[in-house]
Amino acid sequence: MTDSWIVVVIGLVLPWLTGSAWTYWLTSQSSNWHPAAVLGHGYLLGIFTTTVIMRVFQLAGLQQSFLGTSLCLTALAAAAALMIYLKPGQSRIKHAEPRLPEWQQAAIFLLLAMIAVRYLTIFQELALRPLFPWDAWMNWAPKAVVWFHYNELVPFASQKVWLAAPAEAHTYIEGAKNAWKYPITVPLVQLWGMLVLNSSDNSMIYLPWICIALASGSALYGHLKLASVHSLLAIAAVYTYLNIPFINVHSALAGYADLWVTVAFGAGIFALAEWARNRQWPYLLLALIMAIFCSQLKIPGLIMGAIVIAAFLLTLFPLRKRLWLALFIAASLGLLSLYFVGINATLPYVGEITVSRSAIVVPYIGAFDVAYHDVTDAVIETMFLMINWNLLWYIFLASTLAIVLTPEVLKNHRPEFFALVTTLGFLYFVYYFTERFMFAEDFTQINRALMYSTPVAVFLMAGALNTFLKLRQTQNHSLS
Amino acid sequence: MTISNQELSHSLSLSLQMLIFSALILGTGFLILSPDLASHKETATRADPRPWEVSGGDLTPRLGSGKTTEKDYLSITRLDHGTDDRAIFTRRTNLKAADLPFLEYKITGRNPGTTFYLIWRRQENPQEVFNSRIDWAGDHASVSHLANNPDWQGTITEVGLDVYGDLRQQTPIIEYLSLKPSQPSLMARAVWDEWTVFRNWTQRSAHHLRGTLKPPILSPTMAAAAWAGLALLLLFFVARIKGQSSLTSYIIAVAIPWIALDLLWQSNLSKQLKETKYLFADKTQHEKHMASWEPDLYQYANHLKSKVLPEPGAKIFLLDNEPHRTYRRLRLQYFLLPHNIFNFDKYPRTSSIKPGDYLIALGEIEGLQFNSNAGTLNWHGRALPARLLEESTLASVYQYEGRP
Repeated sequence: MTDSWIVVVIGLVLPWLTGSAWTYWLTSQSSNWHPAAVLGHGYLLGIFTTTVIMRVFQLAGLQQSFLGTSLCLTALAAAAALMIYLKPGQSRIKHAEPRLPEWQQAAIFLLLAMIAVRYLTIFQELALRPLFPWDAWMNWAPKAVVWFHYNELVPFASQKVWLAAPAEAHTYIEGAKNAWKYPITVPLVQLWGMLVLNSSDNSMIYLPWICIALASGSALYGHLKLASVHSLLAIAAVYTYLNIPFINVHSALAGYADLWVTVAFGAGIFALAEWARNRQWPYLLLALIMAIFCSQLKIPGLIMGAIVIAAFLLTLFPLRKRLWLALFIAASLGLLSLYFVGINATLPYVGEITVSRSAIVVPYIGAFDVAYHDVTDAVIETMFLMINWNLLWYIFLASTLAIVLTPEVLKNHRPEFFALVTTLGFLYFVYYFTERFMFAEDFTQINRALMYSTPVAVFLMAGALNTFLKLRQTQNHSLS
Repeated sequence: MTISNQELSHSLSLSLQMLIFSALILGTGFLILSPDLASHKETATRADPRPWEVSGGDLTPRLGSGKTTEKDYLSITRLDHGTDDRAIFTRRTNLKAADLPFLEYKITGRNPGTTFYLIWRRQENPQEVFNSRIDWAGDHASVSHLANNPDWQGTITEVGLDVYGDLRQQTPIIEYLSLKPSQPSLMARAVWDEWTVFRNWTQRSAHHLRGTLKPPILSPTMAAAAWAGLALLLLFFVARIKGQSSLTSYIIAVAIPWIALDLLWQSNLSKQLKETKYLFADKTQHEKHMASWEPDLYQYANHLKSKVLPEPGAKIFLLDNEPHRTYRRLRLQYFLLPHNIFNFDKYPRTSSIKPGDYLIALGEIEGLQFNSNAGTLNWHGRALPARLLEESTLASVYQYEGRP
């Protein structure tokens, strides 16, 4: 029992340590870094690196093994330590914050206690229950179980290919028709857990589903502190995010890919906001890595990764009215021409791209008929009546209004605001204009898609509130 | 945020006051304006109907067994085995459903393994039994809004309880059932019980969390939002009157309803964990599967893996009566991993099957039969030479041997 726990700890700590060491080295090249952001990004970077190592093993024709992957991780951690030794980081600048009054300390303690109780409950739930949610054992775990059996990433294929393949080819297929082509990072995370535990049937394989939530909370706190947000407000934001029921259920009933897209997208935008503020390349690099991570997790992750890239491009343009007017006119003309003329092209190595009034075909993502479906009742029910999101979307609506009406705040939070509006716009299009509307009406998918935007929504709201407070303080000072 | 302790206590006190006012205004407003309560008045057949109450001990067992306790309660001691394990206890009566829109009940010693339904017969169609699920919010007296059930109408001639599931070596005690006339306080209790009822994980939990078991009388999320919203409005007016506003007060007025909703969610998570511990704590992974959903499929898959199928690698066609993906066929596919399974067909795919491939027919498949004399699997005039390897109530396993 003790041995297995040690192995579990190694399986969690090794990627975390490796990722954190590199994140620390990268971000500490300037004095603008925070340990919580290092730990948060560190786990995500570490676990992504773990899956990349496993892909390299496959390409090199090597067998998948705990020893092989853990040795590579150890070597990477040692390399990071060497880099830290050769080119040490800078001490971080601690933003001056007077000693917190007792009430604020008490409030922080209370919020941390509520997070602790929640995640202790979730941990026990996860550790006790065998793999439970439908998509987890239908779409994501089967690849890992099969790869664990063969110690190699044997192919999964379409019905047509599977039916034609001889048994000796070890070509597999999954329960859902299109699951064979889903990105493989999540099954690789599961495979890593299986290699660690030397079993494909153990609830502890799914511990990373708790770790990514906590890592994401840590990154959120770190980035809010980097943005000089008050400690109490930053902790309140972390509590708000980590205790959202729908986030909790995806840790407790682990095995879906959506929480991974959520945290990768969130971390990407957090880093991008820091890049926009201080123009330090390590944060841009982290954002771009998280964009790639998004694209490797789930098919919608391709869009979320693209939104991170688009938000980055936005940061390259200065905030000039003329430029924005020109961009707006260009975008409007582009949309109008798409509406009236459309596009239909087949690109080499990419595939068919079609955009017309009646259909959209996007390579790697799919083909969709375009028609309006009114799913407003379902959207209202899920966002505002069910308990999925606590009061998040009510507060978000009020905050958005306040942000839009305060140019100073909007100026300070452009990447987050853009990412959030684009994400919600994308979801609006998907569920109101494509056949996926049925997954909004029956609630099977819409919440999982809404989840992607939650860390950014909380980050934006906390940052905006902080800017409001500072503006108020400045106004009060100037008045007095 | 340089806020002194004094400033905080002032803001906190102001927010709490406004939250209390907000709760009082909203609570009263909801009960006064409730269309349900108004509808009760309109449909009632008497001006002052009397409640109908039955003690557990006065219920007559129709199925299963119970024992009357010293306090005249009914202790359920055994469910009858059948398609479901079940017990039924009823009492004859004569009352108008429209006069008694609420059920108050007290059943102690329940567990999530058993499901209780209130059942009733109506004079208008005495052969039919109607039901309404009685949710479990704890051992205390609970209230259910029966008038929401479209079958709660007409003259009720018999009322009782239908109990399904697993008693788990416990003896639930029915203290009383009481059908009550419309009262605002009962509506308030029914709302609260809906919010606090235990909601076990389902396969839908990772897709949406309603926060209640069924569409509620009042959404807890909307109630919390309205609570915070009105408190904010009151704070705004107070600030206008006093000429000074405190952002801290506004934040607290939102934070407290948020935390209240969070505690409601935590309460359900904690109840869920208790249930999860009951099912899985101190068990091996094998025992956990046996205590989980579909132990029959899990056990059968293990049997096939160890006794019937070769080492993983052979191609297996998993057939099911439904051509679409169904829960049980997908579940069996998962339990059979790492075997290589194709699970999209109802009948064998003759154009693609190769000698040596396996077929598992899950349950009865319409039209599919094995002819042992001819050694063929037949369906709708078609035949496939096959060898029957295994037959059980759950499934049959064949191997295609190629065409002669």
